[in-house]
Amino acid sequence: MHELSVVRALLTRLKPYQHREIRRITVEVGTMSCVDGERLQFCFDMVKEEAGLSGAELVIQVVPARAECRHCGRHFTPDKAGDACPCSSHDYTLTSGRQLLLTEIGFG
Amino acid sequence: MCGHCGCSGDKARLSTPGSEIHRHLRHEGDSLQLQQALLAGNDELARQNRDWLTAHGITCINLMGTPGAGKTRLLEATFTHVNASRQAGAGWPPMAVLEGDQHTQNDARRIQACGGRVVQINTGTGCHLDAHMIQAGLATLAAPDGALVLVENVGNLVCPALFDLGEQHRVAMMAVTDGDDKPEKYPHLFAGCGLAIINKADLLPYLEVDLDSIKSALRRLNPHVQILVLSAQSGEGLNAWYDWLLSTRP
Ligand SMILES: [Zn+2]
Ligand SMILES: [Zn+2]
Repeated sequence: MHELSVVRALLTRLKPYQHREIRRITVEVGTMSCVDGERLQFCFDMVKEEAGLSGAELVIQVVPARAECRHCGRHFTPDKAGDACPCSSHDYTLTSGRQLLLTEIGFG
Repeated sequence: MCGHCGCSGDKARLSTPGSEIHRHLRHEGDSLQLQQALLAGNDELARQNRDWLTAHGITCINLMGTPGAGKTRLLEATFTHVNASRQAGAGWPPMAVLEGDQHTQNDARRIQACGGRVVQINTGTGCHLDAHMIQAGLATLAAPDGALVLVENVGNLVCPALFDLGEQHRVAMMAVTDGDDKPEKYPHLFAGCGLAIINKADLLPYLEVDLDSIKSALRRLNPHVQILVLSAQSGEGLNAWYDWLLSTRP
């Protein structure tokens, strides 16, 4: 379960701000990042107390994928990896959907 | 619009030099807007690994795949072949292996028995290798300049996909016994590799596997992927693998 590694990375990122009471942590998770939101939440809840974040809530914003087709130039939204462009080409670049970002820390 | 967080930048923002963190004055609530990649720590170590490998002319290949895909068997066959070719006077770069497993040194012993230089990395409860483990592993391995280093990742089609090790090449491996729909079930790993290997081709006569449907699933996920069908057991198709290995040299 690599989501636990992701949570550990998140805790490292939060360390510098823990002299204050953290209430809300917002992360952006792309649908193509290969991180599962529910498992991420589960792993966070598992370790938050131990990390001194028992009062904190993790808000996961799932970001849909965006793609630009190399064949027809169209911008479209694939639902999942391997989906084709409306022109039926599979040759496209993901312009969004791979991100795994800490975007906001809310303090108490 | 602010290029970092996308919020309107019509008011001033505060930041410290060298830091990507900034605070917009217009945010009334006491919150901090940032744009930090969660895996930035791993990615920075991966970048260091890549620079180090380049400086030493070392090519690093991250071999990922299902447990039982035959990764270790392929490495055994490769070392046996390379040693025999060297004795016959053919030129091969120095080769070495970083073996990733949760526990045991079994795979490292198998490589060693074939005359390979190898370091075992045990991840304990971890289900993938990360850039830090590779950094430590490379230091212990001490492969000579110009070497080909093969990393055998932990047998798992999910977690290794997320972690950049600093490798120059990613290989995703499955076996015909894994079933036709493996690439579709685990799209990220197969979408992110340059080479896909379908192993255990010697078993095809005994199975109801549609090789063409595996190949077309791979091409849907990854239109530029190179595909090799081979059998590490029988040796079928291995020459194409050796050619590919040699083609990765800078
Ligand atoms: Zn995992
Ligand atoms: Zn298109």
